[in-house]
Formats: sequence, C-alpha cells, structure tokens
Amino acid sequence: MTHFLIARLLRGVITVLVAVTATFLILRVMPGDPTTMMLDNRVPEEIRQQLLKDFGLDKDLFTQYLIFLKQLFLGFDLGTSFVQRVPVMDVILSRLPWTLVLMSVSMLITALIGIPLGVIAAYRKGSFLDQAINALSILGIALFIPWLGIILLYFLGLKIPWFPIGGAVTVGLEGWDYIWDATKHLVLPVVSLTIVHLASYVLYMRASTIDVLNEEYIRTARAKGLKERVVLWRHAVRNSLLSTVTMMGLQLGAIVGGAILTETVFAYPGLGRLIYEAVKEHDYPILQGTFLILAVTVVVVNILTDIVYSYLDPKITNS
Amino acid sequence: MKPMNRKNVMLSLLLSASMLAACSSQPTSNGNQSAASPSGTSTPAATTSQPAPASGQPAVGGTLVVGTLSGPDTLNPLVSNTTPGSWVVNNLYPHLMQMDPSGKKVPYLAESVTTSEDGLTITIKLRDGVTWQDGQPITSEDVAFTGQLLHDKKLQWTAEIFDQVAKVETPDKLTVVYTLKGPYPAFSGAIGYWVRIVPKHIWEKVDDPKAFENAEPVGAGPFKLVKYEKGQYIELAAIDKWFSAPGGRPYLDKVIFKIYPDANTMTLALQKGEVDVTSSDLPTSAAKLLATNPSIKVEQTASLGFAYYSFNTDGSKGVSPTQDVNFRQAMATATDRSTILNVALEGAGMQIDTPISPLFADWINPDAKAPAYDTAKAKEILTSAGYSDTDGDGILNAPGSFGGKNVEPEVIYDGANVFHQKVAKILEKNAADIGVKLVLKPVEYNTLVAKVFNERDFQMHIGKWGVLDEPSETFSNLYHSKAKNNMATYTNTEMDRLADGAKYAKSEQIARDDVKAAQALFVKEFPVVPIYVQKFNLAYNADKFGGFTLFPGDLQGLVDPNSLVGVYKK
Repeated sequence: MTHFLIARLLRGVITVLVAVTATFLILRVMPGDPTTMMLDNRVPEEIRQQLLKDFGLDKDLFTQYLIFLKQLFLGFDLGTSFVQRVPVMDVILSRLPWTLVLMSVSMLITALIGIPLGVIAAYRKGSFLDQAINALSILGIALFIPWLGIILLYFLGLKIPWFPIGGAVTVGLEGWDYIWDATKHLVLPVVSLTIVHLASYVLYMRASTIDVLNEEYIRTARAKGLKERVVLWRHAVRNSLLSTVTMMGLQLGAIVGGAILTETVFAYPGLGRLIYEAVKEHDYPILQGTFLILAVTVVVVNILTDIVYSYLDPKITNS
Repeated sequence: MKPMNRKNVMLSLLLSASMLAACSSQPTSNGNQSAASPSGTSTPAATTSQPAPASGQPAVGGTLVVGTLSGPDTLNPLVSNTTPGSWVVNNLYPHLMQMDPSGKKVPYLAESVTTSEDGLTITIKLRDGVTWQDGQPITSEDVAFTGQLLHDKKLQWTAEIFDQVAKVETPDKLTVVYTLKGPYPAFSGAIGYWVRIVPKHIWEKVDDPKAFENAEPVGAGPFKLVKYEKGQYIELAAIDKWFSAPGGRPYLDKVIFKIYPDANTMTLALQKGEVDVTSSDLPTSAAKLLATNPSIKVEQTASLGFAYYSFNTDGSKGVSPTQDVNFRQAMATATDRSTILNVALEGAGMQIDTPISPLFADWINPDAKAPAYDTAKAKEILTSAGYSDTDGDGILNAPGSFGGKNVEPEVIYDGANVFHQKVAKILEKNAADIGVKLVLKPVEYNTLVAKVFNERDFQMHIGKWGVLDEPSETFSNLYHSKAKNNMATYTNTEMDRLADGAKYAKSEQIARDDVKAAQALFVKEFPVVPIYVQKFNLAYNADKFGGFTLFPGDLQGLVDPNSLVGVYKK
C-alpha cells in the first residue's frame, strides 16, 4: 500500500509540474500582453515598456520561467495580480470557497440522483422507465448552460420569484439570515450544473451495472437465494461503482469548464469567473495561480479516487 | 460528436432568441418605441431629472443597486483605466472639472479655471471648505502634488499632459497656477476631466503608487467606500456634506455596485427590482424588452467617440490600393452608412462625417461632409483612376502603380464585437457591389490590438474610439503623422500643420478654425472612414427611484457623481 501511494504521489507531482509549465508557456504565447487592458491607448510607448519591465516581462522566456519556479517553490509565493495589485493567494482565497461549495454540492446531488437512476435503468434495461431515464439525462447533456441558466432565472427567479437573480449573497446580512440567503442563491446554479452533468453519472452507472449484472457471481448470489434487493444494491452496485468513481475523478476538469459558464450567467463569484476575467485582462499571475490550484486539485482527487478504488477493490493495490 | 455539439448550441441560441422575442410581445403600456426613440439626437444628453415630490425636498434614505458587467480594475485612482473603474472611483475621488449634460466641461472641485490672454497661464481656484474623508482640507498643494506624481512616475497617459508645464505655483491654499511652455488650449480640460486629485498627506507616504492597491481609499466625493467584495459588489455610503448635492448631501444612504457578467442576467434582475439602474450599456434586444416594462425607463446616451474602418496608408511594406486616395474615396462613397446604422446598430446611433462628433456642434465644419452612398459614382471613381478587371475574374485589378493585382484587402476586426461583425458583413457587400473583394478576418481582441496598435500590420481594420473629449486635440491624436494612434500611418504635411495648429492654438477660436480646415482636408483623403456614433442603452427603475441626470457617454451615464447626488427613493 505504501509503495502504491508513493508511486501515485510522485506521478502527481510530475503532472502538476507539467501543468504549471504548460500554463506558463501558453499564457506567454497568447497574442497580446497585459498592458493592452491596463493602459489607455494614448500612453506613450516608453510607459508601456516600463510597465512590462515592472512585471518582469522584458526578460527572456527562460529567465522568467526560472524566476517563477524559484518564487513558487522556495517562497511559496504565487506573485501579485498585475491588474488588481493584490497578492494572487488573497484573490484566489476570496473566490475558492464559493467554487468549492458550488462544485461539491452539485457533485454530491448529481451523484445522489444519478447513481440510483443509473442502477434502476440498468435493472429495468429496455423498459419504458429505462428509456425515459436515458432520454431525459441525454437532454441534459445537450443543454447549453447560459441558455439553461437564463431559462431557470426567468421562470424561477422572475416569473415565480422563489430564487434571487444571480449573485452569491444579499449585501448586509449576517448569521443565519446570511446562510439561508446564500443557500437560496446556490439553488439555481446547482440545479443547472446538476442537469448538465447528470447524464454522465446515469449512463456510466447504467452501463457498468449492466456489465456487472451479467457476471457469474451475481448468478451465484441469486442461486444462493439472496433477495433481489440485496443482490442488486450490495453485490452489483458495489462493483459497478468502481468505474463511476474513476469517471467522477476524471470529470473534475470538465466540471470546472462548466463552472466558468455557470458562474458567469449566475454572477457567482467563484474561480471559474476569475479565470474568465483574468484571461481577458492577461493577468498572468492570477492564471498561473488558479491553474496551479486546479492541477493540484485534479491530482489530489485522482489520488483519492485511486485510494477509494483500492478500498472497493483490493486487487488494485497489488497490480 | 463535435458537429453535434455545435448544432445543439445553435439550437439553444435559436430557442433563447425566440424566448426573448416572446417576452417582448407582452402587452405594452408605454409603447415599444421608447427604447428606439432617439431621445438624444438633437440634444445628445437630455436631462432626465424629474420634479422632486410635492413636499419639497426628497426624503433622505434608501439603497440604490447599480448593475455593472464588470468590477473596477483597481481602486487606485491614479492608474485605474477602465470604464467600470471610473464609475466607482469617480464617486470616491474628485476631478477639477466635470462634463455637464450638454458635453461642456465645467469647474467641479475647482471654483473657476481661467486661461490668460496669451494662453500660457492657467489659474485654478479651488472651492473653499471641501475636505478629504479624514477631515483634512483639500488644498492647492494636493492638486500640484497629484500632477507631479503622475508626471514623475508616469502612472497613466495623463502624465504626458504635464510635459507642457514649465512651472507650477501655489500662491495660496486655494490657488494653483500652471505656466505652460507654449499655448495648449486642451490643457485645463484634459487635466480637469481626467486627473483624479489625491490627498498629498497620504500619497506622499506610498512607496510605489503604480503598484498600490488602495484597499482603504481616503478620497473626497459624495460617497465613501464601505466594502469591496471582489467579484460580487462594491458598497458605498453617503457622506454628510458634499457641495454638488442639491440637498447638501446625497439623498441616498447607500449605493451598491453589483457585478453581473452576463447582460441577460442583469436585465432580469432589473425587471425584478433586484437592480435599480444599469451603468453598463445594455444590448439593444434587452433595451427593447425593458421598454415594454412600465416600471423601467430606458435612456440612450451618445458615445463620446466613434466607430470607423481604417486603411493602412503606409507604403513601406509594399504597394497596396489602400495607399491610393481614389480607392479610399471610392470605398467611402460605396459605404452604405444608413444601412449600417439601421441594421447593424438597430437605430441606436448617429451619423458622423468626420472624426469630430456631432456632440461638439461648435467644432463642426458644415461643408465637410462624407460622400452620399452612391455605388455608381464609386465605380466611376475607380474606373477613371485606372481600376479594371483585367484578368476577368470578377474582381477589379489595381492600376500598375498600386501593384496591378486583384483588389482584395483583408479586413481585421474584433470577432466578439457584435456591431463590428455586422458592419463587416455590410461592408463586404458594399465593396462587392463595386468589384472589390474584402476578405473578412475576425480575430480575438488582444490579437487585434497587437496587429493594429502595436505592429500596424493590417490592410484594413474596423475599430472604434471610446472617448474623444477635446476636439482641438482629435486630429493631433489620431491623424498627425507622428501620432501614436495614427495606425493608418497617414502622412500629410498639411494635416500635420492643422493638427498642431489646433492643439497649440493661442485661443479656442484659432483652434476651431484649424479643426474645421482639417475636417475639409479629411473628407478629401479619408485615411479612415468614420461610420457611426453609438448610443448606449441605460435603464433604471422609475417606480422606485427618481432624480437621475443623464450625462454624455457611458463613462458618466447615469452613475456620474453629479447624477447620483440627486437620486432619491420614491
């Protein structure tokens, strides 16, 4: 088990390094530079050059990269935002909690709905129920988040005013009022993320449960006279969950992509929107910081997935 | 899987468009026209102030929520350079001058600004009794210090204005005297309108004003900062005493700028009453939808800049028809500007002939007109200039002196700008009608800036200027052979003479004469073709709030400090 963990961690560190380097390079290859948005076009060229120098962008790529790595690994410093003039860590920490709440709640709800639906569809394979579940969840994949978001806001925010229109919390609330208000703001973004991501859970779970149900040991379990409920939810689901758990880990990247659109349409102050804004402003330190956090998160989640996996199926650790 | 996805996106866009259309066909009580009615055609900045309630003074109290598409770039008043930044920071830091609703610059923190007869001495008298938010009085020292800091540290483009200053004196606490190296009529207007004054006793202690976050601003204005939640909102609270407030202080208690990155979401929030006024320009479709809502009032304010398409006239990178004045005249004549205005802008704009916006009526040369749309005449110009389809492929060939090849210039523009997309399509057709093939090349905004502004590597491009507030400087800034923003690399000694003449004129009258002469020259040469002045759509909830004043341009709009001080809750 220890050997397995060390190998996984090492691979994780390399992945993060590659991701960080790629981000660093892509940003600098992107056309334009941060002065475009920061300076008025009446600014004389010398002022622009001075600003590039202040940001260290006048040095060659390799020197910039060495400085960046040194700052990151020796000082644990993500730098200062070009535009906002605030340490990147502060900016990220002010946005991260919102994204974490949004992501974890929507992933949890999606799993809680998607997994049972997938199992039921698999068990009733070919039935009307199965087809209905399939059709509805595929419809979800097909929806474009900004469109879905506006529809939800229009009907459940404006026409039937149950939920607020955008934002994370109403200004000036405290205590329980704050929590209740923040929860109300969370509902529609979570609903739209859930609708869009539900299908992959349902379809994965359905496919792997169908496979598992054809396995010999299920027949054995049935032959032993176990109740159908026990066969399905104890024996079959435990095994079919394996591939779904892997999928959940791998999907994290896609979910972040969805978060950019969701946070924009719902005016939600998370990391997705921070990325969107920073790309427009060419705020390299912010982008380097957020992508580092994302890379670390994806790697950590995948390691955790592997650990859960090895718990669900002890054979994994040995291979 | 990929083409399938794209189809889905298209389908959902279509569906959402039909949803918006369905919404806008709701019963109307105040008519569909109000959004489209050109409230600002003749008087570009109509005031929308409503009479105060019958009881006299409006009551104090209430929180106004302003919807904005993005947050301020920074709260540092000396470097902030975005429109959303101005909306917030202008309420926290004062300018010496402010633009009034008619587009004229008038003293604001200054009580008076006078220029000597020879144009060399500018005397600024400050209002007495105005204090910073920490209680210290605002003095001439602060004004002189701010200019010096901007200039020495080169914090923003305004640093350059102070290059013209020979010396600054502060004879008393409320008087600043600038002596200029030469006459420069735009000086007082430019520093007055653009430079935010900062308190010396605070900023002299700042190590690096360029990198200063200014998280706890000590400014002077009708409002002060309470809280800035990044990515969410900026909360401002009223100050007890402000000289420009009709009630002695703002009627409102609080103003909250709330960030909605999606204009559709902001529109829904406005309809529901979660947002009371918008500072960002709304898409025309949203404005039309809102005009059907009896609680919402939609206002239009003309931009202080204009949109154009430009030719590259620089011959140093090889010959091209864009260097030929005949080709440029033909294109200007073939451009159907009224279709552009009615279709691409859905009517939300004004015609413009020269770089001087119709807003500045005193500066307009009535004889300098852009040619009327006339395809036949445009063809004639090209034929007599030697353009003909020598190889029979349906596209004109340039005369030998301009390369002799097919006339098919590439037009680059910002692919994310919906207006410019539509303009490009109309231009493509206009050009095709006279045998010219435009190769449309939409690019991402940063690429456009790099190609056009930094490298000047283009044949034609579509662009726009945001704020051109000093007509005496417009030609010098945009079409002087040495101007940084002369991306067309237009070189004409007569134009240089007129541009310099206007910029450094001894009197405004001389500046005006030179600007008018420059306009006459411009319509013979067309280094760029101005196509329209956009009108921005702003909206507010008239059931809940009154007392707004509409200022020119989206930089001020409805959320200028001089508008917000008069806003009251109904």
